[in-house]
Amino acid sequence: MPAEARVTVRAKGAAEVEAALDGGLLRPFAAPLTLRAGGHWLAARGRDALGYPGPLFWARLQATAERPRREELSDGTHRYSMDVYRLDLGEGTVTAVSWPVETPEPGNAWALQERDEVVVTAHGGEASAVIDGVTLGPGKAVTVRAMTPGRHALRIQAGAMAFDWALDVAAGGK
Amino acid sequence: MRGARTLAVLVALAAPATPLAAQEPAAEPRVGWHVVKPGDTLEALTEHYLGDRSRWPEVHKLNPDVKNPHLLMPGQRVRVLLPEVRSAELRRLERQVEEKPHPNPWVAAKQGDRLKERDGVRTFRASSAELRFDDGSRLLLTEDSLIFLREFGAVRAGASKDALEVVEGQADFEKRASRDRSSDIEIVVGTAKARPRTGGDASAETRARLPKSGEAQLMVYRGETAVEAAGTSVAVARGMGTSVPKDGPPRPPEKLLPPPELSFPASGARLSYSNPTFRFAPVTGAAGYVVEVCRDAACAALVARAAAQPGTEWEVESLPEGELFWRATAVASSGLDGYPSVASAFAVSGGGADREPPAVVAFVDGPGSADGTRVTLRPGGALLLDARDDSGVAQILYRWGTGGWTPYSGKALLPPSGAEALEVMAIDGAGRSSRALRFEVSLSK
Repeated sequence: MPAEARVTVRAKGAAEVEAALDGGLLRPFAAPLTLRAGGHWLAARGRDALGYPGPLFWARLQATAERPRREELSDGTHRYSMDVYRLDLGEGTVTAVSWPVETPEPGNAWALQERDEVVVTAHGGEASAVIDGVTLGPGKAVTVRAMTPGRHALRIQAGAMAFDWALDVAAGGK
Repeated sequence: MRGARTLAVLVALAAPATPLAAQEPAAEPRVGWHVVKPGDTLEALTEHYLGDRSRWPEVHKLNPDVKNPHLLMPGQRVRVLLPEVRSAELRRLERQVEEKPHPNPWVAAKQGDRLKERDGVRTFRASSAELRFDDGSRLLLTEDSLIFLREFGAVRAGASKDALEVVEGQADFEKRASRDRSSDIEIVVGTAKARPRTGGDASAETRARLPKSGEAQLMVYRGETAVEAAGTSVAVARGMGTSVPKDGPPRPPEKLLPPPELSFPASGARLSYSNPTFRFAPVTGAAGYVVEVCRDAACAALVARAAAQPGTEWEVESLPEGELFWRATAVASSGLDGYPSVASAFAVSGGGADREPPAVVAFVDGPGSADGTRVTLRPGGALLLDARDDSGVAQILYRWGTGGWTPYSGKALLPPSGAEALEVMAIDGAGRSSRALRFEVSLSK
């Protein structure tokens, strides 16, 4: 069962994010990182437009086989597990979102089947899911389900940070 | 009077005639019937059945119809006290323990079960059992061990003679002199017979072990023990031990090694992860060590055990949550255990196993940039280090070039010369080190 996930990081008010996964030199964070199954330490901080860094932020990320990122349910539909890690540091907020490797990065179109569901779990705060302008949550766990065929807009929001996808839901799910 | 020995006795159950210490498993006094022969008296019958003439008033109370205890009528039926049926109680059982109530097969042991003569008890991996005798003595059986109560005789004149056999594994026998009763226990291990005796502090503690080699090992922590094999008897004093070859007499006693000094986890430590690495100081003369984790300070309830550890570190696979104790024992090249260290208390609360090394990062503070493994610091810029780990970070270390490793104090780092290689690493609370990260750091104007 796949347990990998991708993760991206954003910082409130930051023009740029520096990050290091499982140690190393903090460097500009460009593409989403791929997490293998297991626990990971993510260190990150934002830099403003003038290059001044914010405080260092640490998050413990878990990509577990017990909680698959993409799971086929008994009725043939799918459940996608996403995680939002958020820490308020007073001077700013750093938010990391992880999602299944089978799905696109934020900002891109995501092909789903009718009645697939997306489960968002918040770590260190609460998260909301906004589907076609309707807000679910905020809460520790939010589930978006029973999506009808057609294009939808999904926004995962944690505090001031938001991550958007376009959902192309195909008919045919049982 | 002596003809009374041949008389049939009908046994009936009765309440205990005398109160027994609440802390000790109660033996079971019995009452029977005796048909009087010419010359019998209650005093003589009490001597005959119990070996203790002075208890005849108890027997008199059982027979209120007897007006004159010195004058019994031949053919008269009187009630008599019979020797107690003795048993030892299984007090503490950890994980998988089985008992064999003779002549029945092995069954799962339950706390409070009583073992009688010819019964056995055995433990499996990471399991233990405590057996409490009616004189307050106890036997601690560690993992993978098997013993039988060979003789568990009747109490006569307040004394008993018992024998148990260590068929496999290891048993710790602890004896305290009892005011009510004394027991002379014989421990059979391999071809040796050991008889512990209490010392000046009225206690005795002997460890008997029969490893797979078949060579019996006896270690005397308190009191003294007489060890006999192949027709030779050796007195083993406190702090000494001996081994007994399969076909020979006991070897000359040797001094037991002192206990190792425990270092980690420290006494009272609370761990947020379940797989600590236990550490202790080496003991001169030790060929290996045994590390035990238990639920109690006396280690009667075993949780995990590592035997034949070559070094002074042991990472346990996983411990349960809760208050625990640990101790270490040095093992001499002869195979004899030294004194176990005094058990040290610690606790595991929450969290799973920490199997990953720490994550250590370096980052530019102030003006500067990082690119690949190259760091350029501009005026006012410096490097900072930080690390995280599930079991906590014990230390961050760094070194410039090929210099010595220096503990990181949290201060900003600048290369001693204009450009220098920097290596950083961290050690977590479980003692696991990260790999060293290497950067090229230079100053620019």
